[in-house]
Amino acid sequence: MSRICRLFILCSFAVAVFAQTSDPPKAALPTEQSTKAAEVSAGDLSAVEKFLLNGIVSDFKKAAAKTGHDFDDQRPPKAAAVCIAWPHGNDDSKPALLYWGDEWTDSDKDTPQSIHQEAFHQCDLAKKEGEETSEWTKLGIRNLCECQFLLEDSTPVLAVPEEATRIIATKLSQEKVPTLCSNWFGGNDFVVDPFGSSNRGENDWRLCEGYTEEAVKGIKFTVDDLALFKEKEAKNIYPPAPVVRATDIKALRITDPSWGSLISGYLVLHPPTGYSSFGPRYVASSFELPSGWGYHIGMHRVPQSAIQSVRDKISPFEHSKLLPVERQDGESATATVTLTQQDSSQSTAPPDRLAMYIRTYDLTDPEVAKEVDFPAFPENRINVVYGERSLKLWAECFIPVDDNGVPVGQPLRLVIPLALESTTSMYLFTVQVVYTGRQGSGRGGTIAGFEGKVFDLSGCANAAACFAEVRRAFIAELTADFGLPPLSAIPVRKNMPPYQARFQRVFDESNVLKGLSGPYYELTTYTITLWPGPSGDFTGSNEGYMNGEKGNGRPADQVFLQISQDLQIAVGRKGDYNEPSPQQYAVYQQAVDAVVKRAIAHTASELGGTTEGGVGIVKSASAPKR
Amino acid sequence: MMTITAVRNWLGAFFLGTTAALGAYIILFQETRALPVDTKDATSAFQIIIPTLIAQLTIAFRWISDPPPDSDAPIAIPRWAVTGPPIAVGLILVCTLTLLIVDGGRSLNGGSIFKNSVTFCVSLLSASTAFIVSRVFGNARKGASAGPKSDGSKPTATPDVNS
Repeated sequence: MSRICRLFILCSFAVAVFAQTSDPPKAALPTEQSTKAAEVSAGDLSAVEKFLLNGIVSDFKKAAAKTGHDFDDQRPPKAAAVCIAWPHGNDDSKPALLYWGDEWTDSDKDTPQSIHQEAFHQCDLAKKEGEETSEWTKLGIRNLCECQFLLEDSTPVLAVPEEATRIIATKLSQEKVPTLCSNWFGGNDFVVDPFGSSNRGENDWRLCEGYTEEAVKGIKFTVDDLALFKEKEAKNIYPPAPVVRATDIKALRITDPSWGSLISGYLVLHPPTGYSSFGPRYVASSFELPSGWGYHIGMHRVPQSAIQSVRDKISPFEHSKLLPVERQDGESATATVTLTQQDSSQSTAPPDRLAMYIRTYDLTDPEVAKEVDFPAFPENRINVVYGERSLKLWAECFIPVDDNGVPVGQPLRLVIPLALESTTSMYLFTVQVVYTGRQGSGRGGTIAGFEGKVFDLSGCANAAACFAEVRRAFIAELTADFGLPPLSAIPVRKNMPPYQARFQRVFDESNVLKGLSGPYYELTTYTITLWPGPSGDFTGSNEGYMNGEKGNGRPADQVFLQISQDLQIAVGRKGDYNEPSPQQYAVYQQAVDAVVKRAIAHTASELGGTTEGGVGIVKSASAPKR
Repeated sequence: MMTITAVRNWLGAFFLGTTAALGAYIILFQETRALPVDTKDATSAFQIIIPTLIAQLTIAFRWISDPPPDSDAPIAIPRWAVTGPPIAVGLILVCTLTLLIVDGGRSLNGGSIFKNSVTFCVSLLSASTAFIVSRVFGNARKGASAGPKSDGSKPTATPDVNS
């Protein structure tokens, strides 16, 4: 007879899953009319109770699987007891399975009662052990729970507390999604057209329940941006969608330059306002709003009769080209063609701009679904208890581009949702500018490659003078080395922010990928940032130093380097420029690493220093005459 | 005038050679300097032309595997109509590949050119040689292996309408 007892803490995970919060907009919105009354019917309560019970059984299965027990219909445990932290009072987080005890086999000596008692006993033991060793307990925080029977004679018997059911049902019922008028579809120009197709006058509104003229006037259906892709000639450049899967982030080494650690995969569904782009260069977009105003993203259900029409219109744009960007001072200004400007306090460099493109996310992949979420998704509404799940999200992505429309950074992690397909419905998104009474949110972490320390100037009497000399020599060395094969990139001759240099190789054959395969042509931009900082921990970031921060207070006698690379490749100069494979990225990484190491060694040598472990040791600002 | 046997030999050899050579070439050399088009375009081209060639090859080998008694009579199809389209297709494909290899992706949109080229070849064959194939290979003996063979005797041949 085997007896298994384990403790299992799911609190933080469960809280994270259900702790989606959103600021309710203050303007009148179509969705708001239905969100005012979050009434829960008896049917919904019953469905939620069943949903919670199934969730706990499912959590128990996963926990049991980790201890080597495959819980299936053929071999269920004889009895199981669980200790659950139920939502109560103001806590509306998902029920969390904290401890459990189970009994899988029985012998002739066992009676049903003894089996039940053993499972209960194991649960109590696990709880006691867990509470004694828990870090939370050491901090004086106790998760109050009592062991209860989950399974008796292999049958679920757990009674879900009525309060917990009501709290979760109320929470899931708060977010309602209105259904669009069925006569808004089928037009040629727009995916959704609340107007008459012939004459777009004031009297042509085609309204229905839940959509007043006032409400409809203020919203913009983001899916109608598809028209821009039809009207304008797009370049055959296909940047990747912002990476969300943790495994991909790890493989591509996408790091937060502030800390050097891997970024979070979470994607924000919001227009790209005031977003610090990749690397230290601040990029703001024309989505920026005055203080006190913000965006409200709304989700609307497409009537069943119009789903096919919407799908037909949106499907061709699943992997769109990069839409060319028009200048801010240019002839035409379109709301969705975004232009960026650099923080004027940092440099007089001409601004990078944002270009947009459309990509889709497969939300059936749990790793993707975890990072792409929205309060109105079916998983966060009462629909989840009736089995509706998200399948696919269409989103408008943004990437910084230079004057020639060539991508120069990583895609922004702010995307505008266009449409969502679920197991039973299709939804469209709207954007509305609303007064929030505070500055709009939406800032996120920055992404860039992180290289770390490259020079140690602690031996210099005057670290600032040494840094100036090292920077001059190192940038000169990098410029020479980046210009040589295999990178063969040329410096971008435009004003750059302090400590920054940029190299590009545009529409030329890739020497890095030269071999039997190909011929590959590349669109590559390397943005190189060099900045002084102190030694030790908490050295701070390049952004911080540029903004006058002092790091950990020690002298800034170390030199740090960051290289951000944006890369698209095509077979043939006129081919489609797509994201390279991880292997191709890796080959580039090796080539860049080799160039940087060579430049460090040459610079250190030129300044009379040495190289140890890839770090140049320089002790004097003056180069020895050779 | 060609004899019917000569036509069959000619077309059979053409379809076997072209299918094997082109299929293998696309599979082996896509996204290399011998076929500088990306995998997506190469796969598209493969999916355009290979089913057509395989269909013609199937018709030919269905006949070859079980031919009815045949006489080597001349067939009332001019020689140019039999040999012209395959030769044209072969030349187009060779020219296309030569062009792409010589250019090496420097100035031409190889993927687009290759796809258009094979699409044109398929159209050309469908409009010409496919009809000849269906005529000269169209009368394979039907049901030859389906009859009872308990006495061990060979099945009786079906009369060939062309002979």
